[in-house]
Amino acid sequence: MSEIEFRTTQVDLSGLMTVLGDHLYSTPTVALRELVQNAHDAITRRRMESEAVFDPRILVRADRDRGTLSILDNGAGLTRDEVIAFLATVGAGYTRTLRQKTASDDLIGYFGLGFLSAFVVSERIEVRTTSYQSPHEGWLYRSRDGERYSLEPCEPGPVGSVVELTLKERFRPLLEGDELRALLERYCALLSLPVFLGQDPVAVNAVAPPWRDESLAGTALTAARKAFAARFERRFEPLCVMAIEPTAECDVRGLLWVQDARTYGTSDNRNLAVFVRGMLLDDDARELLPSWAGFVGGVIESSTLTPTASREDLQRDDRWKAAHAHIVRALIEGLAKVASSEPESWRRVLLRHNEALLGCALCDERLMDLLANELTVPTSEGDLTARVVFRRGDSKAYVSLGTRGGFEEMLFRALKTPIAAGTRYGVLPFLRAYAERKGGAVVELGTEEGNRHVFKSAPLPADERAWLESLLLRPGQRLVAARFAPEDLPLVLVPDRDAELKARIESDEADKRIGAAALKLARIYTKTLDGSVQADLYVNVDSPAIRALVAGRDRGAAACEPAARLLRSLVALMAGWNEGSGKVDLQSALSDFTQTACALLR
Amino acid sequence: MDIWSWVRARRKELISEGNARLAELLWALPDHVVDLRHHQVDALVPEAIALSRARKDPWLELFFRHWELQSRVLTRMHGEGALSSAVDLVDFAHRPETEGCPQSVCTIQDLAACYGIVDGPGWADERIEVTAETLARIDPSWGCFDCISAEHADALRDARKTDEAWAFLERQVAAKLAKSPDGELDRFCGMTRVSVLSDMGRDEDALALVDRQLAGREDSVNRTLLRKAHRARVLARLGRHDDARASLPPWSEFVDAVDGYDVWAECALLLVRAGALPNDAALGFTIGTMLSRLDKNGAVRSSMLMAERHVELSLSRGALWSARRALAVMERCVPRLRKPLDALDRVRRARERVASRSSEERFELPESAEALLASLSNGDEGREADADLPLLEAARAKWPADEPLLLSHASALYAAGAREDAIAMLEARVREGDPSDEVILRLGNALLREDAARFEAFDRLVSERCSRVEGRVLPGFLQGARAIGEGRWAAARDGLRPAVEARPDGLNARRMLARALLRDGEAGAREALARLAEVEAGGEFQRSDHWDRMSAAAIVGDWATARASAAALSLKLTSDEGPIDERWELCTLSFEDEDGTHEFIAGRTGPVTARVLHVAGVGEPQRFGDQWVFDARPVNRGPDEGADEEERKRHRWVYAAVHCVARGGFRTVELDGARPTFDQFDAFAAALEAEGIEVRQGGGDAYKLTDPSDPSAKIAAVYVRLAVPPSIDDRALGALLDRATEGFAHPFAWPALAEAIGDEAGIEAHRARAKTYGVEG
Repeated sequence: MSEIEFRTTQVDLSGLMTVLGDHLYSTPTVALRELVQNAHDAITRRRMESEAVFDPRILVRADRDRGTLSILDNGAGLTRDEVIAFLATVGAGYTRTLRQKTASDDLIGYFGLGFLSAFVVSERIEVRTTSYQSPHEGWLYRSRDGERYSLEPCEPGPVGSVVELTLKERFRPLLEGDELRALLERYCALLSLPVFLGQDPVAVNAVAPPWRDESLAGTALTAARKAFAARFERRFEPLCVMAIEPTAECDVRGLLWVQDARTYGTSDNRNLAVFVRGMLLDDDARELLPSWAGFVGGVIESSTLTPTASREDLQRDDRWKAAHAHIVRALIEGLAKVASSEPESWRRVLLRHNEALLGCALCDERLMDLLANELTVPTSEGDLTARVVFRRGDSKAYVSLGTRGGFEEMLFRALKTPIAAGTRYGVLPFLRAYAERKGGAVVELGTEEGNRHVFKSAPLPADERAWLESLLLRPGQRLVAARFAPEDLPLVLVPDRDAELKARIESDEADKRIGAAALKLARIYTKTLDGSVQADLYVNVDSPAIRALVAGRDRGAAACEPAARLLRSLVALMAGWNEGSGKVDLQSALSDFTQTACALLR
Repeated sequence: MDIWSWVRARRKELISEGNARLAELLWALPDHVVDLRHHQVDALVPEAIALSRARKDPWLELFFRHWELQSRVLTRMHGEGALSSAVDLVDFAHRPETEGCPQSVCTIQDLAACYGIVDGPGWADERIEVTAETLARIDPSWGCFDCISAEHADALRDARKTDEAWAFLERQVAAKLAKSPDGELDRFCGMTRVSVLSDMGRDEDALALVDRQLAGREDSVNRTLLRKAHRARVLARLGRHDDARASLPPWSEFVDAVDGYDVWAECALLLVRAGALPNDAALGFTIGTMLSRLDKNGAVRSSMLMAERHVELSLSRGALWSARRALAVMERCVPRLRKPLDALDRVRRARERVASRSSEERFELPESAEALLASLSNGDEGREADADLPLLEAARAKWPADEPLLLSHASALYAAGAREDAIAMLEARVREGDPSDEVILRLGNALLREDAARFEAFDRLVSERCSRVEGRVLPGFLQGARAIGEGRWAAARDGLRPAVEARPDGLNARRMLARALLRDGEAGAREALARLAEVEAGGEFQRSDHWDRMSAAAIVGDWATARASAAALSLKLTSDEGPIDERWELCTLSFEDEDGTHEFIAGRTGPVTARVLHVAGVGEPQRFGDQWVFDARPVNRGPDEGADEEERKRHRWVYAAVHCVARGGFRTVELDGARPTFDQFDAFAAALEAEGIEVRQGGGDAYKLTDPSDPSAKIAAVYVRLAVPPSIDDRALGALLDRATEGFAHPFAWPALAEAIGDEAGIEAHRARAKTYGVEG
């Protein structure tokens, strides 16, 4: 019994350690987590198997000078045979055996690989252990690589184990500063047993998560939630916090919060910490949050979610789906509750995340209910709520898509009717969804549909029309008599996009750049288009200038011709200002304008 | 050419230029497309295109426009409606500035696919030709080799050249393998290969292939759903009905996978025929939804085939009306097909089936329309929406003049999704002349949400065909009621007034008008009181009427009337007569201006009045001390049912301010300085408040000014905003401030006030202080 035994772990470890190091247990924090879990499970085991009363505690100690990290527990400890059976046999952790025997949810560990993960970050590991079954024996396990180890008797200590890792050089910064504390605070936050660090008499997990503390209510509960959230949200302050309550279908509970940082559109700052059986399993399970919630963080716990073999992710099974749905519901209901009971926070949520929320509202009907009247869209008159946009547009929302309609925009600016910036994230579909829900129409400026809304057709006697056509039209243009505001705007020229497309596709030049078969297919479409009209000239019958022009015709006034030339130049100048309207000859318009002005002055 | 390496390179480049937003969109859009987040696609595409144009980057614009078409055409099955965009993009992609873009080739596929969606078999030859032309330009290393090969094979399938399609696919697989021997090829042209194998009767092979596809690495949401649907269809064909049902994704998950509707519906039909899936109303709803979506998108051939399935399923569960509607869709599709092919036969067969079932249909109509309506409302709970429609049609033929029957029929049509039919029926009734109020209101309500032109036409029609003035005012009434909901108060008054004048019985019109009149000054309030008196005379004075009456009375200063209503509502007031000016709880007043809604904290001074407590900054209108009457309907919701005492106490009601009864006349003055001690600040504030000046302190811990003893250091500072009553002029205020800040270790600066006072020395002194402490102007 007294000599040192040299043994080999019962599996080929050389390959496995690489896998552990590279994939399964990738960081020293994971090793720390695994060892705390082992300590926790050892205590649970002692409580289940032994009658003895003891005050359970886990202590983590860092010794910077020696480069060691120790985890002490007063759990069950191990006998010699158990060291061989459980500590040094891959896949045979005692936890698994015990869980199979007792079906206990208090046990965290899963695969028995946990202990080996410590070798990824250590030069050397020593374990001193004394089992409650043989309190007068002590065992010292020592190994450098987990593969070959020595086992010898030693002075028995108090019942329990001390695992001492001598960290590899590059992992030693973990022992400096507050990093270790911050890690333990996060990783052990939900563990029910106290975990102490060094000499500190207060456990790192002394504050219970607010959902477990039934004594909290009202503002105290809100404050506790916010403080707890702040421990998990590393990049931002939590702006408001929402609870996730378990239901009969899903045991997930925890907190969600909105981040106090400005997001834009599709920014994705989601983060979600997932605790399974009290241990932090996944630090960034963002996929459990809805994809639209780019400004939300959270922390949850569940005993039903299933970890993957790497223990750093969750399996996407039915429970995962149920948890996802549960969290989405909690988030939406939580936001509604913030809206009703925390108006100041809600204002800030809207202010911070308006753009992102435009997208959210589109993704979920319930959010649209909540947000339809709250969100603003950028318009030519400033940021306005959809309600104001529709009100000021007389039940219509005018939207510019930037391509064309530069001209109509000018028209609306003159009328101080807001034009929403359809080129900004989410604006157009949000306004459409709003109109669908509350009534009203969305008018896209620069489209045929939009023009119908802007220019109301008006009757014009045939002879007047013919005369105006002869005076005002250029080849390829069509005159449309209409009423529109402002009255001081006599004419508007709107190019026909279909005709332009037809001209381009059917031109000889297209043969050179587009493949024959593709061009054939494209031309089959453009053949269906009527390309005879290249642009519509809208004549405002309410305009004093047009009325005077028509009256001038009746009197046979000589000024009709130069006046018409001026008006035509005006159209050309305004159309020329609108980039992309093609064939307007600016030079001749300018010269027409100048000559007419000179003629009037002569 | 690998498009994704191009995307990665562009992304890096954009990020290094500081254009993170475009970089983000470049990554996000394809993800949203293949994971079926259609809303997100629609939300970000206009922005992405605009940003690309702003930096004059045609390659990026092409990329975004192509992916938008991928979403609209390939996943959402837009056919006819997307042709114009697809042609436009082909043109754009083949200009000198874009032809080198690796995404340029893909636009041809967008166009070919678009025609394929309109009428796959009808355009098969052209699609074969165009994809062959494109394939000649690329090799298997291109990302689009897969898509265009699949498009080519699909076109061959549509041309019923199944063997040729398979041979072609095998050649493409071999070519791909030669280029990348290690590549995983099960998913290459995956769905097409499964379909062609099925067409060839090789269902077992098809199953094995789709199983391998599903087993591999994670796939997009869309492809996963489609593969599962394909798998289900193959299983159904193999007679493994239970497995098929298990593999078919539930409709709730499949809604957005429009490109899989054909496969899903065909599988469902096979299962129904085999008795393995119930042919219930829910299935009818699903197929009906698929049909209307495809039809709306201009996916003509698919619509026709979906309608054919809908006819079969509807007939077999006795939903004759749905079958007729689906038949109408089939008939509507035929002339829009490029080549009818077997469509005419299909329509003929469907027509015969419907006709034969219709001839079997016998209705036992009761003795009166009234009895029929009574029996309908006693119908089964689980009855399909369209179950009553054939009966209603028969009844209408028998009692064409019966109005309750007409209204029920219209409602049933509306509920069954036949909106236009319901509207047309009501319109016909108005056109016949002398429609009842009910008919006008029903039609008006249905049209109100449509475009304005349509409502105007309805208004004209009613005024032509309705001889009763009471009926003619109803369209205006509806518009007025809607304007109330939208906060267009002037329009509401215009719409409602004729109704109020024409209809002495119109109590609701009066109530609404009174509410709109609260926003029309004192004259409006006086009229509101008169209208509410008419409501009271009508014998139905409600609690909300009392609240509105209090608001109107407060505006005109009729405190006796306001007190009477307060008493009727059992509100406790501290005084018995005269103006109501008490200290109630805090509230928020909401002001709707032209540029939006502004909210300010206020102290409630009575049931419908409040005084603004917010002290505005320089440059904003100062509302402090203004007294407002508000509309007593809260703008926000009350505290939650589960809220505790504390939360209830914290909850603050928001009311819409309607009329200012007294201006406070306060003006804003701002001061800045290093933070004095707490006691000093308290004394300073108390001295000002004693003169009726309202003091607000700002800045918080983060606010710092320059330390005069060490210009490189900062000291804690405070800024103070004052609302000053008109009784104190600038000079008096200056003197008061001098006294109140005496003894401060650091002097406060108020350069703007000093300028207003106009004393040169004072101006100099405060400018110097501002400069020393680094106060921003």
